[in-house]
Amino acid sequence: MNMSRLSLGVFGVGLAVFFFVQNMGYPARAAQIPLMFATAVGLLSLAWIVQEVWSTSKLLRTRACPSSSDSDSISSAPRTYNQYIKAFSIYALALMYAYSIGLVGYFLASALFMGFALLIVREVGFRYALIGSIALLGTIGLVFFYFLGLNMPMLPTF
Amino acid sequence: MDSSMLMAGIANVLSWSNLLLIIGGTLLGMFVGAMPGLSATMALALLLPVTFSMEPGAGLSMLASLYLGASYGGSISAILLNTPGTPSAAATVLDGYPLSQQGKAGKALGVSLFASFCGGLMSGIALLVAAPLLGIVVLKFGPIELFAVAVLGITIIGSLSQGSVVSGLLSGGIGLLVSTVGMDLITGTPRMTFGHMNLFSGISFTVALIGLFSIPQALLLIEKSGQGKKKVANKITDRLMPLWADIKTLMPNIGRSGLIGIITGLIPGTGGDTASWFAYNEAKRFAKDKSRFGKGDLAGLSAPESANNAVVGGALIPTIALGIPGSSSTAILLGALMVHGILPGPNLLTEHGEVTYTLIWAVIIANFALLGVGLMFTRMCVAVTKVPDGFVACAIIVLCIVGSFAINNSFFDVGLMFAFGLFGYWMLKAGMAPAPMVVGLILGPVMETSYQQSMLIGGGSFMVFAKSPIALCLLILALFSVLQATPLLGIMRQRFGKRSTHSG
Repeated sequence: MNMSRLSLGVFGVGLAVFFFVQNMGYPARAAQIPLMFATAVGLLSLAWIVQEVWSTSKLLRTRACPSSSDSDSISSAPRTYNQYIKAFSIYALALMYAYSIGLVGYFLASALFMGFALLIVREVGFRYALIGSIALLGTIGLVFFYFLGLNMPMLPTF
Repeated sequence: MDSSMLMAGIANVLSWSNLLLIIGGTLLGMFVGAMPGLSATMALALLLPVTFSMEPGAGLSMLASLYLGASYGGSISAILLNTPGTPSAAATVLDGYPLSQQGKAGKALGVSLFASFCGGLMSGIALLVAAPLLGIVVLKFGPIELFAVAVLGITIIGSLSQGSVVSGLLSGGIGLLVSTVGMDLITGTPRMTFGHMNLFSGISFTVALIGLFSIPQALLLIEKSGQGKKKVANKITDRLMPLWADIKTLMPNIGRSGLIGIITGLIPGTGGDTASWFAYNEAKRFAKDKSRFGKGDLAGLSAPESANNAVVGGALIPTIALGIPGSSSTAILLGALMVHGILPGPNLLTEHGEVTYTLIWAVIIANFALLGVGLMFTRMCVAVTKVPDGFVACAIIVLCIVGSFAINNSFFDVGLMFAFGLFGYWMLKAGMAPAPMVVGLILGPVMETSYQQSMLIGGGSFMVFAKSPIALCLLILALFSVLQATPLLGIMRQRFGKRSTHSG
């Protein structure tokens, strides 16, 4: 069973219930459309869950014996797990990066993020990372800060 | 068609600053398209904040040219790396890569560029002719019909998008639901804001766009990175300029594929990928020697390339005439209009005609820019295709943060963008397309306002929708678009089939 699908279906039901309950407290005219949308999302989420469960049970019934692809998927599982860890590590690092901009400014935070993220990714050499990061931050600085006058702290405020 | 607006549009596009933006956008689009794993939608979402400070026409010209450039750019990595740069270039791989293996990479890229130019130009002209004509019809639409159009838009894009019909509709439904957050337009009641000032004006469509299309792409690239596979691109050793004899032979195929692209683009939910496969199959069907397909046939290369660029103009027809985006990329173009206070709907061609015609002309002119830029810079794109995935992913995240902050100068939007990004990644893993959600976010307010107005007209009765023949037809079509993708229609067909054989 695809757990991403199932969990997304459950999330959809939860989201619909949450919106439905919250909108019940608003005036009738303001709540009318959100209630309709919430009902539709709830029903579609239920259909999505039923579809997933049904298709998985059908697949299990038709599969008489384990095929070679099963063993392949088992052997590739640790790699997939590592890939997820890598992706979520970068996501967590990006959240910290966004938070740190207010403290140390955009350029220092970005440089630190690029450094740590590329260290986790381990795909580019030091020189490539350095030149690439300088070029990227230089372009952003030119476009967003110089031309567009972005109101974001550029340097540390302490 | 209002000729003064038509002329104003072309005058806007032909200003030096706009021409430079078109060339810049095309070049950027080509580079982005050439990088495997990056889509035109993502590039548009990231570039959108840059256009905020520009004139609406100038910003839209740049975005439209980027869209066109990326459609061609996808073929560069398809031909040189055997990896489509964008999903719409998947069919290009079949005959493009064998050609580059035969040492004809330049020829393949030249033909691809010329086919893209022809397809794009055809669709630009179709857009210029069809959108105003459709716009005249749409001007007769009131809120009742508009509500029906919005319902049809969301059901079509939901039922025709990737995955099952339930997943598409659910994605669209979530978009509609999220669009209700913020101050209610009729009563002024703050909904789902929990006293948070940043939510009073609703969830910014651009923030959702950047999160849904860019962060999942970056996370997927990170997953792919570091697997020890180095990108090896074939070299361009021959001339890029296609031969006149080749062009002459390919013209009927390019024309047919362009037409397929325009028609496919017209249908919301179907994009360049559907059109390119459709055109490829048709090219094979019409070919005298089918055995050459998949081994480096120029017809097999030019068909998908002409079709995927023709989708651009085709998808813009419902976007401009009805305010219903035909694809996620056109949804961003519509979002760009909304950022400048231009709301989607029939008044796009009247009240805001100057801006809309600027966009239409930009689509046409961008094709000429693509031809020039393509001939000059395609060789440079070889270097771009080799940029490691890990570096591209980190760069995307840096751009996402600065882009989402630029919308309202608010860190709240950055956080919201990350939340949408995580949700988009989840959707991707579950096989749910994010495009219907984006369309839902755009159409939500349109649907709600037109519904409330319709209810006022009809005195609170749903029968008001049945009294308008146009609305009734559109709503029946919407119902049919949902039913056609369910087993229900198949069961009904089977039953009727059995009954007719029994009676026969």
